[in-house]
Amino acid sequence: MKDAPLAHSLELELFRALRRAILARPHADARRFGARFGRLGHRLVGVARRRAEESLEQALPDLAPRRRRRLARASFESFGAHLFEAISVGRFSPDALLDLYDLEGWEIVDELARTRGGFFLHTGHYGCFELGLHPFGLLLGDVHAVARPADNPHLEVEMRLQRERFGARMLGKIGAAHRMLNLVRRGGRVAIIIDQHIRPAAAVRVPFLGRLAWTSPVLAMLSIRTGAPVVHFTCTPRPGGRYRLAIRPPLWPEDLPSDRAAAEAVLTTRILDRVADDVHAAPELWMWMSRRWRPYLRGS
Amino acid sequence: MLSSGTEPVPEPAPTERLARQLIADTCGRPPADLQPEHELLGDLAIDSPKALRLLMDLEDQFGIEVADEDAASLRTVADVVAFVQEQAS
Repeated sequence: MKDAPLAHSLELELFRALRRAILARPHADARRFGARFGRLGHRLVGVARRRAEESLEQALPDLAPRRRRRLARASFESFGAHLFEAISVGRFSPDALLDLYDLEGWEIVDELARTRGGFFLHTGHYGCFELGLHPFGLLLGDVHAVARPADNPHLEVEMRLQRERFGARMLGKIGAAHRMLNLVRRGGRVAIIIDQHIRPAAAVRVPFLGRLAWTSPVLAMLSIRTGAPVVHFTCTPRPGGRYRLAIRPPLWPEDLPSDRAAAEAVLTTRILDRVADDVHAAPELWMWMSRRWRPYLRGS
Repeated sequence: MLSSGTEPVPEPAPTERLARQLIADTCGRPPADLQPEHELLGDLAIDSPKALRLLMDLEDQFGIEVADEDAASLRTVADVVAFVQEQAS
């Protein structure tokens, strides 16, 4: 801590204070307080609010402006609630945590784990996406997840401990792709999210919610390479601090064009289509505040 | 004997030539532009997913499987060439 910049130390202390406050209340309160926190963010962080409204206009142009503004606010509330709940579950033992989930389609992962071994897990920045990982870590074992490390190294340690508390192991993004390949080859499970913008130089441009979006092809590349399917899941809130973990049938890397780049683009599109289905079902649960649809940047 | 300075540069061995060609294909530069000390990430902008593509191509062309620790140690053009030569020998 001695060498940490002041801002990092302050950020860490704020995080710890927030965690103490959340853990001092019952878990069922975390969602309510988190939603209030999100609402405050919606009011105070104008840049993110305008970005969310702009993204909604791009993806759902038929919605009335008033409805879009409501959805943007609800998206902030959902994200705030998710943040607080992700911290709040740190109080539970593994068994107590599992009791909070209603699992739908778990037989799909059971069957894959028994017959195939390795496969990929995927979800969007949707609902309680962080919480969706825990049942896989606890019930399957040998689960890794890719996450962008926090800029603050001290906060990164705290967040890693939080995320790894229930069995899953984290992979930093640098050098992760090849590690993912070998993990799945050896029968492991790797979770990754690809529904956010990445630099055009490292991306394919594929349709997402009706518009072309720069997207990482890594998951499709790995699935095609290994023959391992992609299992899409969503974790969404239920009353009383409970969660619904819904698992969709696996996407196999089959019926793809023979051209390698085209095959990766097609499979990436199919994966994003699963996220689009989720977004259409409950648009307020997606993280609209990121700039998902960006034009090609000269020199990229 | 001292070099006259006009002697032709020796042709690289097939293994080295293929490795350099794969790197060149990945970064979109002619193989002749590649220097041994060029860093894959810093000089040639080979980051994920290009790095993944390069490793998969190396596996296919040389019939090998690249371990995590080997992948992590490949930082320059010379590292890649040395790695495939070692695997081929």
